[in-house]
Amino acid sequence: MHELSIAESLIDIVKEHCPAGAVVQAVLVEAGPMRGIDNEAMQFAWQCATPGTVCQNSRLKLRILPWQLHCTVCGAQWAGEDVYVTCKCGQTPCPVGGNDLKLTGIDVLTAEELAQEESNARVSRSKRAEAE
Amino acid sequence: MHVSVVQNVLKLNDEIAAMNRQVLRNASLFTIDLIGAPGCGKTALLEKTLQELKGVRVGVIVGDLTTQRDADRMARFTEQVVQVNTGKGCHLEANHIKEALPHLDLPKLDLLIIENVGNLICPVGFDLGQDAKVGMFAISGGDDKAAKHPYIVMESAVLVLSKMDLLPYIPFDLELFRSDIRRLNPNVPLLELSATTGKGMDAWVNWLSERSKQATLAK
Repeated sequence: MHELSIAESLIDIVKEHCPAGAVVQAVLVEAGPMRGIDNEAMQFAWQCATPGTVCQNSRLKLRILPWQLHCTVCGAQWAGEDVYVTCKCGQTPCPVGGNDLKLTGIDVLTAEELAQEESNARVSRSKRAEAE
Repeated sequence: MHVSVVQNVLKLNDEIAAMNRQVLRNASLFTIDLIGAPGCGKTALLEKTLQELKGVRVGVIVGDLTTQRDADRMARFTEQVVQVNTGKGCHLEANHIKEALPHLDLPKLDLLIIENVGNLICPVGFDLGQDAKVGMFAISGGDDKAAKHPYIVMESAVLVLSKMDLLPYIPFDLELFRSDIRRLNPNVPLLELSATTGKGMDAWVNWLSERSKQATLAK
């Protein structure tokens, strides 16, 4: 379950970058294919790790990046889902990089946005009450 | 509102690992992180290694979820052993090593071996402050394990294939195994050995011994 350690590290970083009073809605992460991160396991770890933290009730948007392959014989470079493929020249390519693990952004509702939403809701409630 | 942040998720672990690396370099140690599946023979390899490594003072940090058993096995060969129990953790993190280091007398060591928790996946992503990661496979694990675990193959400075004495008894396509490794990491040395018979141990022991001497000279 390296996913759980990753979830805990993510929560710490989000805490650092989340504006005061804001509510975290989504956390955006990119992971290279070498990291061996399984989206389903990562989502489960997120559900377990986030309650009671700044990330409570937020969504984890995980993007698993494709393999970057390089053929050392003909020089071709391409991206693909599978690492065990053959180059069009017949040789076997080598993977390049692939061990990134990055937080790329956070979607939040700021204190002002929350207040605005609250007042919009109040207005629509009172309009509904008038109509009735 | 979207807050744009680009940050390495394991930044904190990596910072602690960098501190560990500094401490270990200051003490002129060569440090390896030995990573392999449960039952691949990590502890057996280390027992044999400690017997055969002459003139190199070795410390060992052993990681397991629970029990002191591996530390007890190591303690027969060196006094400088620390057992780290991770509880539910499937891998060692830099902080475990930071907490273990004060229990070792570093100036009296040339080589530090960290035996990670038995697992071919999670430990690879966590820098501990080592000089080299060593990935370990065994004949008994099957010939597909390197292909199925590309991260450890690509990140290792040296790979070990152990239990070579079992090759006659187990279907294992050695050529396939070797070519899977070449494809992922064309230049990594693959050391094929048996800790039981001792065959092939010399290349492994020489590598450790050479690198430990280089670390001492670099002081």
